Amino acid sequence: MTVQASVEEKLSATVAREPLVVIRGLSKVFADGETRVAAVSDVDLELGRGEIVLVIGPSGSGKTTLLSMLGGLLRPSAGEIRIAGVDIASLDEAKLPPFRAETFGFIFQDFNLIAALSARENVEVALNIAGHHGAVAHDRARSLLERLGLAERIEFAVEKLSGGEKQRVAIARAVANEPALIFADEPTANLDSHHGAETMRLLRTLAKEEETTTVIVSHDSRLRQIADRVLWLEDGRFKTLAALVRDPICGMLLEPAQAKASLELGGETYYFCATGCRQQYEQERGLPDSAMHVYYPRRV
Amino acid sequence: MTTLAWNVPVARRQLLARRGRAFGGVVGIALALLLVLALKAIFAGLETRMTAYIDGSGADVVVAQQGISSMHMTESALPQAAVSAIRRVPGVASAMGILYKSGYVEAGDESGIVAVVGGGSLPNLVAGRRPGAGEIVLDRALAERLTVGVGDFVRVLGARLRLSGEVEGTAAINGSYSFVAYATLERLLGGRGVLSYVFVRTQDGVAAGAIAKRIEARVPRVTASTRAGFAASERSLVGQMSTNIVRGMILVGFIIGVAVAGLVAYSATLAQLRDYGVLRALGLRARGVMAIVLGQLAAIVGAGFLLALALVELLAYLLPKLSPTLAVTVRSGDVFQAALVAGAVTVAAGLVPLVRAVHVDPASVFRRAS
Repeated sequence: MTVQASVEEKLSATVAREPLVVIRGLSKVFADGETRVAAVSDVDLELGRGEIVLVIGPSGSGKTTLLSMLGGLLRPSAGEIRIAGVDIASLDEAKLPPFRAETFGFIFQDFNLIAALSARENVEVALNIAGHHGAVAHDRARSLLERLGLAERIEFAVEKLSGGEKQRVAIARAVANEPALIFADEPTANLDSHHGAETMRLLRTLAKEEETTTVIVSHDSRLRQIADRVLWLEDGRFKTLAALVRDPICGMLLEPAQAKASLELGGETYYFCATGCRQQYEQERGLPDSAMHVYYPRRV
Repeated sequence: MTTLAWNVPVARRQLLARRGRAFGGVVGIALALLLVLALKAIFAGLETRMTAYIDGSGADVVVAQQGISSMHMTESALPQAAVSAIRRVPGVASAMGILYKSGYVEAGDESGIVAVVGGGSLPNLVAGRRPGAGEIVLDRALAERLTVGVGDFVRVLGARLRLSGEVEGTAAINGSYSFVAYATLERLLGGRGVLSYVFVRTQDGVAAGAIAKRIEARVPRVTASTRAGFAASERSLVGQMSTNIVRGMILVGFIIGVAVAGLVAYSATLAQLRDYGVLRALGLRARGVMAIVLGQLAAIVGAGFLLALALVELLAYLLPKLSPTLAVTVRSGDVFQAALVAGAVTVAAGLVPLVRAVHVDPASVFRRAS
């Protein structure tokens, strides 16, 4: 079995069920007089429930345009965006806002919290918009913030929060309505490494616990660690990316050449982010601790 | 799903987050509306003072020369025989002729415009007694301005008269009433054998309007008005004087109000545009954004309106103390008119910010904040 086949098999387990998002022939052309710019061209994509997809690509590649169209914030020039069977590309303008409120959560690079509101109110307002009011919304906002470690900051003005705390409030707001899809635009860009890692952990935990499909647009390569799939967008089209493999112990995605350890077993090659993971894998399967099986790839 | 039933008071929070701008807006609106309210109140006060004598005269019907239905800025002359003719009209209980003449009162270097009334009753005598021969009663505000008191002498219509008493509530910025004995004014006017007006009391249970019509039918060349009608005619004189000024001030107040409210609302909208974009991205409908923008504007204009009301009430209290001839009367109709102006200001000032806020592109939230 090839590495690529192994990856596809593992991913298929995640995407096995009916995809939540089906995109066909999606294009967006911006026209200004004689000038026409194709920001996204004929994109096809399927996203499974609970899948975390990282979209990377150079500036101007169409990432934000794609995200805006997926989030129902921008009408495509052509194509379909079916989310749970609903084509939002052709959805009536009046139906889009409630669809967004109920189905999507947004996380922004600049956090985009409303400065005049407290942390709790920033979360609660999203619940209000989705039709949840009173004590229900209030309690849900509080419990979410407590769950995200902000129990002591619930009534704080957002401007008094650190960058990491602001992003956690933004995440709480994004998941408040238990959306099927979360769109995260450079969620770690304004955070230091510690808070960036914390945000990544949170996103992965929430996505897996709540089975929330998450689309992340970022330049931050660290986010590959939490992604089930990484897509490279360039000139408005997805390009083939070097195959990634998943550490069977910790679930981290790896490029085979950068794996810290690997194991050939039964005709398959398994890659690990650390020797500890390989050892754990061996112990779980009762394999002898034999260096004969160990293959240390050459560092690239 | 709703877009208006908020739990989190976004509009209020945003407004209070920038208190300085909101307060400035409230004060600006208040001053603009105060222009309208104060001017209306000053003219209303003038009307009250101008009709104070007629309102307190006790007459049910006022009879004047044909075609005349007011005292100010006109002159009425009736023959003495008109009084007895009016008394003979069925339903008339009593009829009393009075003389009326506009002129100046002088004391030392000071002078003032007066409407000299000869005969009839005195309104609200607060000092001294009714005028006898060679005596006069002035309004206290005028007496204070002339620095004269009871017992002092003043010159009126070329004669030197002794101040016998003071009344209150008839002095206005355009002149005040003074009262002399009928014979005194008749002598000052040269004993022409004519009178100015006849004050008529009707018998119990007889409508003043019916008597007025009956008098006009039976007494030749007179115009008979009910007291209310005569006072309304007096007020219309003020109205004619003030209409253009008031209209002008309402326009000025409206323009200033729109400018201030519009500026505040527009600057607030620009500052909050990203918030609106976020709310739209989160699923808020356009009408929800409209509600926030209009809510903030209405709050500013409403608070400005209330402040203007408080200020005009303060003026109504303070101005007469500073200048006794200046009465300020706040009428509910004028308050309603100012409220309409405030409503118009809200709508006019909200148009541009509303368009800006409603058309905010929710996709703009993915762009970096500048």
